[in-house]
Amino acid sequence: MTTEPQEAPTFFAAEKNPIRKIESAVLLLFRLCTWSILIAAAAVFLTILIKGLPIIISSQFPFINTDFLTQSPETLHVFEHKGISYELADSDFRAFQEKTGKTIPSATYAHSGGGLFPAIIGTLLLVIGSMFIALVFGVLSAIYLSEYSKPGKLIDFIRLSILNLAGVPSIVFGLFGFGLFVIGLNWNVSLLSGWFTLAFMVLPIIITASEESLKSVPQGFREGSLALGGSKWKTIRRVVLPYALPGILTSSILGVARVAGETAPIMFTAAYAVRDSLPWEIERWSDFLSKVSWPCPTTFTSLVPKFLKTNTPNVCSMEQHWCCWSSCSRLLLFPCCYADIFARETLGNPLQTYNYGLK
Amino acid sequence: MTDPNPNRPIPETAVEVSSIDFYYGKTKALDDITLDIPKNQITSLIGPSGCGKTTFIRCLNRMNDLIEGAQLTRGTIRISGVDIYDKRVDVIELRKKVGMVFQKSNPFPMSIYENIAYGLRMQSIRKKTIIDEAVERSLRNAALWNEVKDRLHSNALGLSGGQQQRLCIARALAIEPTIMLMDEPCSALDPIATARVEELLFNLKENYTIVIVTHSMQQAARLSDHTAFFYLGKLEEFGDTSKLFMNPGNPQTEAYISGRFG
Amino acid sequence: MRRFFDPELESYRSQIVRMLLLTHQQLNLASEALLEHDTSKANKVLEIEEEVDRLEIEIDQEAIRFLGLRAPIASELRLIMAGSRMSHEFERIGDEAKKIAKRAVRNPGSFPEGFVNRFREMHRVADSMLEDLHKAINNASESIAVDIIKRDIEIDLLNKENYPLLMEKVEQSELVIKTGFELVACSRAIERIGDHAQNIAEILIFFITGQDIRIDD
Repeated sequence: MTTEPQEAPTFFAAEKNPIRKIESAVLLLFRLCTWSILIAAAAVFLTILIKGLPIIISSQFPFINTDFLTQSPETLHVFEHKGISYELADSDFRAFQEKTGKTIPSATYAHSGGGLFPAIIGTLLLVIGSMFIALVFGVLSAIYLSEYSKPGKLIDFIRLSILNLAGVPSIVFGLFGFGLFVIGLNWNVSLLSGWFTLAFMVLPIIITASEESLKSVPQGFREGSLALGGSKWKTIRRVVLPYALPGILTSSILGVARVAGETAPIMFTAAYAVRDSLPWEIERWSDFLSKVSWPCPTTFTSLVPKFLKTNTPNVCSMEQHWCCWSSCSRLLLFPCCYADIFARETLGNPLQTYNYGLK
Repeated sequence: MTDPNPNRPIPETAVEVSSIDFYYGKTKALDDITLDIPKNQITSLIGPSGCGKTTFIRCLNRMNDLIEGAQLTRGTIRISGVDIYDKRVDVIELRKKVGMVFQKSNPFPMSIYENIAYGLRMQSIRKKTIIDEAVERSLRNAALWNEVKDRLHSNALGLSGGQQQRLCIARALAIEPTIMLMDEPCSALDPIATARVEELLFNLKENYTIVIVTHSMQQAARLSDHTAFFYLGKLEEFGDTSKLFMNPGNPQTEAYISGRFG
Repeated sequence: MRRFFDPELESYRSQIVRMLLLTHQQLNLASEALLEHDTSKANKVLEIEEEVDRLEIEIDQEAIRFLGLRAPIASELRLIMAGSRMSHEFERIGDEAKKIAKRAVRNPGSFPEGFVNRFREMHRVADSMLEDLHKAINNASESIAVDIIKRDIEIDLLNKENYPLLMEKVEQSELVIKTGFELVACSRAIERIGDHAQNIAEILIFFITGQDIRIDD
């Protein structure tokens, strides 16, 4: 049965209203902001990737320039031989010289050849160590602040101080670490000093994240446990902390980013751009942490000398430079993302899986 | 046929409350409450919101200690002759004897088995056979065993609201308290789940003293042996449930239970 | 689902059934006492009366208690209301039977045959009504209850016949006036028993269907 459609029912018809225009305009503004951030981020990352990838990716199996990642930095020799220009790292250059039997003059660029291996190792070691220390101190402090302390002016002051630490420039931490750990406690420039300095730097993030996570634990769990005859610490250990831990860890990943990325705190306490041996190439295992200094190059500190020593960045070191950046970002970005996803999915909040509270 | 058992013995008292005043900071929440809660019977506490019934019930297992500034300023609460606010009383031991079930069910985010075993593990009981037996016994007592016996190790939060509340009851029963305090246990439940919990409580009263806070007049009338009516922090009337509901002595009580308050 | 207060409902039901049994017994004993001039049976009727009276009070009190404390609805509510109303009707049946029994004791002499036959017939109908009430209650049968209601008219008619018959006998000096009055009263008593049985059947229909058929009559 076909009937002519009557007039559109006016009851629900959309009103032509200035409010609608405002709504559309505001929505457009939000979209623009979001997209501009995405574009900026994409520009940064894509530039790094595009410039750095050619070095990292090789055409042969395993498609990654493993030499770059597993060798120490070496001097780069740029030269011409029999009409062909070469760029070789130091060890390759010596081998080449032996093969040809001649001494070949070459332009040398320090730290522009070889690989990033020590830097990568240094970053990893510092991150792991300092995060561990920061988590231990941070979570325990957060437990005290949120579960045990009585509200009052003193606690408010302590919280404010912790938050202030987050705004302190990292160079100040470097000097603090230098003064306290390197000189004061006589640890010298070492892994230990670096660990503790970085740990203190990242503490505000950890404490804030932990407190938020602990606050989000429903009070019902605590009351339930106490009503069953549990003591306060047992309640925290068995119910509150396991529930809050995934949240603490995922929030702490921000801390990882800060620790891995900072140069200033470790400049005086742990880092060393050039060192012949890696931290575990030592005579006694105790030297790993001991007062005998084992400075650690990190990916970022290895960039600093490049900028300091070479006033005009030339082509070779630029390439190294881009590689460095791209490997740094990959070192940071992908593990952080995956850690986050992993933490949420595996350890993640069990309550989010169910319709808790919606019945 | 008004009293099914006119010759029943006068019950002993499980909790003796004498002239207590309770403050939250500067606000008086309970004013001169004197009450004897009989043993192995169901006592219900009724009254409008904010009248002090939850405060009162939380005094009995000292859960109010958790609240900053809450204190009992006068009077005593005695359980088995012992003043529970005495400094020498270990509040943890008290809470093992006086269990509590909350209005909003709060199962831990663990398996059903672990939820029930929680209280036992708190007491450092580790032997698996003991825990297994206690879990089964508590779940049977809570009328939940048949529904969950095949999924004891699944997460407790996957249960329905009524089942979660019965799980919380089972969890409280597992440590074998003598007194069970229930703060509106059925308020979040549908009628079928409520009926099941009521049946459960009726059967439990043989072995446990039960104190239940409820907003439902019918529930108090159906279930309890004694009823206390609280209003503005005072105990307006306390007595046998049939007397209080058929012929209340206090006109306030009559106004409240017939819905003519305010 | 079985609830913990179900035993209270069951005991309430069984009290009502007990009242029916007792009053039925009273009816039979009273009629036999009158027609057979048996004093012991008459005394038995009076004994039973005590329990009947007690049951009426108990059922009433239990009804109030159940209404107050259990807030029954639907069929439970109808059961409580029906039971309370029925208890009063039964109690009156007992009263009427007691009256017949007392008159049996006071009038040991013989009665006119016409009266005796009619009385027997009236008793048979009343007896069958109470018997059928028992069936109707046990089976919750509306049809049996309707049938009971229809039968009451037979007793009414027989009662109407008894009065002129007895007056005639008195005029003919075959019967003492006092006895005549007493027998008229007995006839009326059994007629009232029939009425009460009819009322009980109506209450039963209310319990089964929720409809109060008194309005239609």
